[in-house]
Amino acid sequence: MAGFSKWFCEDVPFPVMLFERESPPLPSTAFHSPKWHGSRTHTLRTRAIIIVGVVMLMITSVGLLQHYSSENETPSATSDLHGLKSLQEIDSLSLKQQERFGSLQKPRDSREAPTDTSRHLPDEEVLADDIPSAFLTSEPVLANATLDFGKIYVLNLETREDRHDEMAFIAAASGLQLSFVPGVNSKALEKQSLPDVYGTPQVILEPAHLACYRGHANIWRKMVEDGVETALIMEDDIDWDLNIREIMPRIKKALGEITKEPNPLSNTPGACFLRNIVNSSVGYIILGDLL
Amino acid sequence: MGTCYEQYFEPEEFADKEDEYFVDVPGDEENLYKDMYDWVEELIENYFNDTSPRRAVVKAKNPVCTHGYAVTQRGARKLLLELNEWMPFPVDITMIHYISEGRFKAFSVMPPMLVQWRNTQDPRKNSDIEGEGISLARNWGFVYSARKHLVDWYDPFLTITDIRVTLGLSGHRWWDGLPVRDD
Repeated sequence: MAGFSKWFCEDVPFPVMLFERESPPLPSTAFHSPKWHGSRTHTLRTRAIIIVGVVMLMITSVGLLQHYSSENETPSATSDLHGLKSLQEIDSLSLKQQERFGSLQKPRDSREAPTDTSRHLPDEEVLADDIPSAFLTSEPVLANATLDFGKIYVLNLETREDRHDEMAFIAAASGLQLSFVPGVNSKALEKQSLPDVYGTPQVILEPAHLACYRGHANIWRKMVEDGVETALIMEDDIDWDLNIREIMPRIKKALGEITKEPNPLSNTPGACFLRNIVNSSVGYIILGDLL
Repeated sequence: MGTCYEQYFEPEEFADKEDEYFVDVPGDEENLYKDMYDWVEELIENYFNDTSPRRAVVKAKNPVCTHGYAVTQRGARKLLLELNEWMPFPVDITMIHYISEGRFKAFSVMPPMLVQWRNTQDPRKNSDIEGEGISLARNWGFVYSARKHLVDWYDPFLTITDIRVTLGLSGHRWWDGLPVRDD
């Protein structure tokens, strides 16, 4: 009775589960993205301007710091308000002079000090309403290194090392973890191992197509062998968005919506059983005929 | 995830079942070049009555190419069994047949997230399988293309690379000859 419960959707969720429920954790390496590291998108000229600007700002700030930190060579203790004074200096002044400072005077006792309720911060609930949530979460939601799939397989002819290099580069640049699978050379194909192409004009299927098929079939078999629940399969000549790990969760959400079963009753054990019977009989009718 | 070509279902086909045929992916507009995805425009307009750049997950009707797709464990088993039994056409075309027969549930991300890369400098390095549909593939689909930004990743300040390319010492590498970025 192994796998019996699967017929009744007890551990196989329907709609189609295209992403892993428990995916491997993110790698410890930092994720580099042009959006969150603005310097990547700058040209050389922009960079030069930025560097010069930063240097000038540093020089200015150092000068200002030196100016204000240097001791006043001509102390103007008697010239009252016009010069800056520390609180200690003010304390040492006479009362008559202190009155002229007005607000700088401390209250005599903190208990007697009037409490200004209007200046208190509002409650947290009010704050939550005021501040847009975009400011509260600066970090984007990222998919993990395998884009929330069990594995990412890349089909790569072993003779095309250049493409392997390129894929390794762009995977590292966007923080992905790829599993390379050797492709199949069209010259190394055995006729007996190929699928039935009976009744097909030979023009349509070239050796390259059959080799391509066998390469993909090897990956499907590898999925079965590895017991990977979901996988993303790629060829080695592709390009993607550098922020693919940020985009993937949105795709994932949309996929969840489109595969959602509109009728809740269709997930009941009985309906599942019927559906599975129909599906399997359609899929394996050829096998059944053979047996 | 990555298709070279896709057809859409007519409004009569998805009447009252719109949720099963297309879903919008909000928040991706800024990642898309409108000019690069003109071939998707018709499909997007058919579903959303709108030509502004946007990404969507749609029910697959005619997804060509196998350079990027996702399968479940059950899907892999079915593919392995069924294609071994009967494969009169190349893999992707045979898969379309199975999809149209309703044996496989398939969805497409349009515009695709994975595109085939074309080397404009050295065409010898392009796809090993040549065919009619090859011109349909685009290599400049993304604002933040991973390959386009690879030079930055490789050399953050571009100085050495710039000097080498300017002096003509380099220029035959696979990433050379890319359009000048103006971002």
